[in-house]
Amino acid sequence: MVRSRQITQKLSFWLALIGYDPHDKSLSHRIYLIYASLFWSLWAFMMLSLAANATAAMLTATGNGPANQSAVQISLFMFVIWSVYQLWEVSHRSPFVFSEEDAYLVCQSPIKRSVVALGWFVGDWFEQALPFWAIGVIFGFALAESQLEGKFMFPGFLRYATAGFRAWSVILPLHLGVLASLWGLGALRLQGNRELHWLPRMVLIGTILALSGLVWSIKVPMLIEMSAPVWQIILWPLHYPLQAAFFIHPWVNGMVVALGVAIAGLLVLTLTSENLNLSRAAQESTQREKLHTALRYGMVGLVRELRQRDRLGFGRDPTRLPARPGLSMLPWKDILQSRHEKALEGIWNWLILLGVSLGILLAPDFGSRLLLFVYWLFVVGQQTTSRLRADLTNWWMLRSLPFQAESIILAELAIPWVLTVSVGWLAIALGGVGLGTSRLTVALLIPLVCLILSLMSAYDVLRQSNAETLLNGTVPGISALSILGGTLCLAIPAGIMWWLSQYRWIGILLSIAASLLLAYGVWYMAGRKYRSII
Amino acid sequence: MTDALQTSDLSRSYDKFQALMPTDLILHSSEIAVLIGPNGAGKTTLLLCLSGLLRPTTGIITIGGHDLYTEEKEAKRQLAFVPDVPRFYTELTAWEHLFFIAQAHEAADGFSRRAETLLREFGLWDARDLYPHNYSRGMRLKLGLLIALIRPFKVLLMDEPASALDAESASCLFKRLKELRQSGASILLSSHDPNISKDLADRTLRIQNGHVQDI
Repeated sequence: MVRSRQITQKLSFWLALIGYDPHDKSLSHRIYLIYASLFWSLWAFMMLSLAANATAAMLTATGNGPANQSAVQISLFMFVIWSVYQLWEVSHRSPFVFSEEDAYLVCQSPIKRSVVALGWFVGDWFEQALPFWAIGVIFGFALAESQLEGKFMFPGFLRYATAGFRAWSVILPLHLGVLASLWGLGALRLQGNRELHWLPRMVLIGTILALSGLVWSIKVPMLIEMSAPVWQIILWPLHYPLQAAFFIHPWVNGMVVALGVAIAGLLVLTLTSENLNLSRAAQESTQREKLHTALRYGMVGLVRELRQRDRLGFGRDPTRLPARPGLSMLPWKDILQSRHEKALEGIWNWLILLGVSLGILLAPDFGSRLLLFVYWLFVVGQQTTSRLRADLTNWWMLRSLPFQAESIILAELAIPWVLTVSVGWLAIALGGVGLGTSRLTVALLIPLVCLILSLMSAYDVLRQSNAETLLNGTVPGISALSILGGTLCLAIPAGIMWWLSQYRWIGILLSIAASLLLAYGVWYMAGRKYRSII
Repeated sequence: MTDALQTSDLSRSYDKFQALMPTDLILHSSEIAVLIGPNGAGKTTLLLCLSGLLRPTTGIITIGGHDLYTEEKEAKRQLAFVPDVPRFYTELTAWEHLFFIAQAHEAADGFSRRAETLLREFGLWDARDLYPHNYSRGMRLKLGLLIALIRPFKVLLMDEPASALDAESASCLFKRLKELRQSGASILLSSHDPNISKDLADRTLRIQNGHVQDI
């Protein structure tokens, strides 16, 4: 009951994306559903055919033998890699993902554990199986296409569809069986209150042994001959049905083996989940469920926070970072937060900024430079306001600090501004050779440009902020105003420089003065906006 | 003598809904006022407006004679607020939160001793090096209280401070509040518990449909 409601909710989400409301029972809406189903089915068919076109060429070009042998090898390789990854996952954390509501409802009800396990498995299997079905159908279409040799008549279409169906029908039970047996292993780890410490270790040792065996077999040709029968036996339940799916063996034989794998997998899952400890599974997975839901609904801030909590763990020793009382505590806090963020995302964003800055300097034509410059404005706005936006999520604490709004804004922008300017200078040092004597001018103007942009972006964020949403921890991102306003503010000093190009240093000094004046104006506006957030 | 907190014509509306009717309110020094009222009466809205977290639609708020918006630095030094569901910085431990607030308010002298006393009093000493997201709801509320209590203030506003506290911590809080009153602080707190009003309040304010009345 709980599971079916969840699956319905998930389905409603996808239906909402195509504009269908399940609560609307009108005839026109139902007709729309039929139309949408037909449209998306046709779209999916066209997309798969398009992918099959390229795949057919790839299979014939890269394979050592016939195309269907290549299809079997590639899909077998994918199955193995995916199985090893899943094996690693289930040996470390519960494959059964419960939300807090599920945990209340399911863990306290006298339901048969295996029924819960199977219910949860079916819901998740469907989502995980979709890419395998798609790949199977693409390979099926690709093999049919290579046989048709470009002649696409009605009998050809039937052959095309049959080949897709043949692959899909075998991969469906095969994937189900493999995933069910892996979940069975996950259920084995969650038996009662026992912690099976040996299981993850065994998986790790097994994976290392298998991989080293594979590598040695490739390096030493004699080992290939010796180990081939072992690999054939281990992989036969996967290999044989895949061969049947792609026309090497009869379809019926492949189906029988695939169904056998499915039944065996479901049996393993049913047996191992008889004593499944649902509370432990819930404990391990409620956080993940929150993350999945936040991801599904595009709650980027919440996703980041949940991931951050996961990375941080429980606690740590107090920092020894030296501190000075007063306003400098805001940068102190920022440094402390950055030190413990442990996220690659932070470094990655700065690398993107460096890449874009280099791109502007090295781009061959004006059009590319302009596009990159617009993107650079956006990245600078995002990066310089990152701390301000993060602190606005703690509105009650930020607002209680005894500082002027203008001082808070400057303190929040200070560190990101220094980093942005440093990245700009680094880009000039690395790729500014072509700038010639203008290199010094650009380097001189970068701090001012970044200052104006960061203040404009801060103003933009504060302009859109609302006290009620800030209290809930939701902060708006930067909008087009940052880019437009930033461009306008940059155009004025740039215009002065161009106008006074004959008197270079006077032009530079006047444009610096204009930039400072503009920065002061935007800073003043941002301070007023901060105070008037309603 | 200047009143600790004073409002004049203070009101707040959400679009067309008037959550808080124009209110003139005075909170005297060394006074504990308890704000009572049914759910949705406007208690939280009033406290959020008084703390400066929610800009009022009309009116003026002064803290110790300083306007909350035009003299914000001076006003904020004298004002502390504890929300009913406090949020914290993800990357800072409980101890670091206290340190940050104390230093930001330039109250670093004797910080370690004060922090230890407060943390022990409210039963958070052993959890001081944990990240607050690992705290229970009650522990988070306690940390919110400590963040307010770690630095000096003249006016303390609290939104249902005892709602998630165990009996021991609640009595500890009330003892603290009485001490603060003796030292000259003014406290305005909202509550649904009639005992709090009976035991603690010098004044009880009733809010209904956005109207505030002395009772």
